[in-house]
Amino acid sequence: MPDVWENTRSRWESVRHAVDGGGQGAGPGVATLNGRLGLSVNPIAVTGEAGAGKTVLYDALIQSIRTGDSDSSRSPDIEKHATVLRSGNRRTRAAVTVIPGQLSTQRQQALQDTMRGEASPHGIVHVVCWGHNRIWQRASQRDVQEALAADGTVDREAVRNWHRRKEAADFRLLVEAIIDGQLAKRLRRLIVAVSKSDLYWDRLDEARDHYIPGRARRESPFAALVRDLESETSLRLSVLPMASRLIRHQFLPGLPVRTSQLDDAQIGALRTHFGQELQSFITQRNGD
Amino acid sequence: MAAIDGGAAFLRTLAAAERRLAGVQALSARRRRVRRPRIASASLAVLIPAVLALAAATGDGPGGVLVVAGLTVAALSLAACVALLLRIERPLNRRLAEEQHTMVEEVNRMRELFTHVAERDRWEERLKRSVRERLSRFPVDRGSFR
Repeated sequence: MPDVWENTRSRWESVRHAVDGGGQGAGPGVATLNGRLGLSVNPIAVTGEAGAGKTVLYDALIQSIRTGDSDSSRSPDIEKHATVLRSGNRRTRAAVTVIPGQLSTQRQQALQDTMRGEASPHGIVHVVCWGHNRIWQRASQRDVQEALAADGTVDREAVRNWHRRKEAADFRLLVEAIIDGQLAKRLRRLIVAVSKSDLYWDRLDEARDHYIPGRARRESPFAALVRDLESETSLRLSVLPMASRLIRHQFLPGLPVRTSQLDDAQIGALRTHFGQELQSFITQRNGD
Repeated sequence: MAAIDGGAAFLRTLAAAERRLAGVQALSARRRRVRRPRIASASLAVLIPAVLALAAATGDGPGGVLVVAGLTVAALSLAACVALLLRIERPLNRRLAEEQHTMVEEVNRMRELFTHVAERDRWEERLKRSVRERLSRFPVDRGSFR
């Protein structure tokens, strides 16, 4: 069904045009999430590799972070939030769970609580970052450096590839479990949030073709998985660029630092479009 | 810290981390066992003087022998509490923190290297699944052993 991917691309491009066209600031019609206690409805899970920016993305959507905030850190535990999604006068409740990216007891627990058996989110936001994952520990950075050096060159592209392979392996687990019916049986929507896009805005076409099937001469393993998901399930899929805040990124110590290629207003536009996408899913479910 | 430069080294490090995890769990259980008498003795050290003071304030109060006995028990309880805290619990906490730190650091290295090693050594799906399950038994951080 080629239209699916053309539509996905066209949505991606509309976001890009909005950002390149000067950025759409946060106005009254903008969708945002706000922390509130209350009845849990519209369960949403945020998944993705460690260091992809899941927590920062959630924080950006509830507007609890601003440019210039202190650096992020590794999330030590499952994060569960009862939130209200707002757009103009409309409010919708959502229960958002951020699933830890690392293979761990906390991740198992979060999957058990939110995705296995009768528990299922209605939507998943899967966060990827085109290989710009953060490695927190020095020892792990050294390991990656040594492994890449043994295979050839240690440069930004090699580190990107390293993370993209991990990203695809992680996504494969999720996709296979969804297709096999082991996880998230009531899932209806999956949004792939291509985060930290401000770091590679000049190469956004490559990132798009990496995540959305259909155009690249050699389809990436990730795009192939997205295609599998579309053909084997009735999920509604979206793939959108996103940036939660202005950041700088160093792939490994000794490699050049990359800085954001967008300004605050443009990041605001990205957040806005992403929030609207999320809200369209939630309100659609409620029949608004 | 040993290099994890291949599948064999990875599996050796994983086995060592599992032994460390068992050790950490044993230390954690021991700490729980020490905490109970420490908390009980602290409670006695506080409650006995409080009860004696309350009794003295509300009526004739307990006899002199009872006061002396009570205060002696309270003092011994306090001494036991301090001894348990300083001689056993604190060193145990320090050791536990060190072991957890080393274990989490090793496991984080393996989490980072897993996909690379599995692809490079062309691990079978069964082995990958088994390693994933084993890595999933470790905490992200030190939170699980509070």
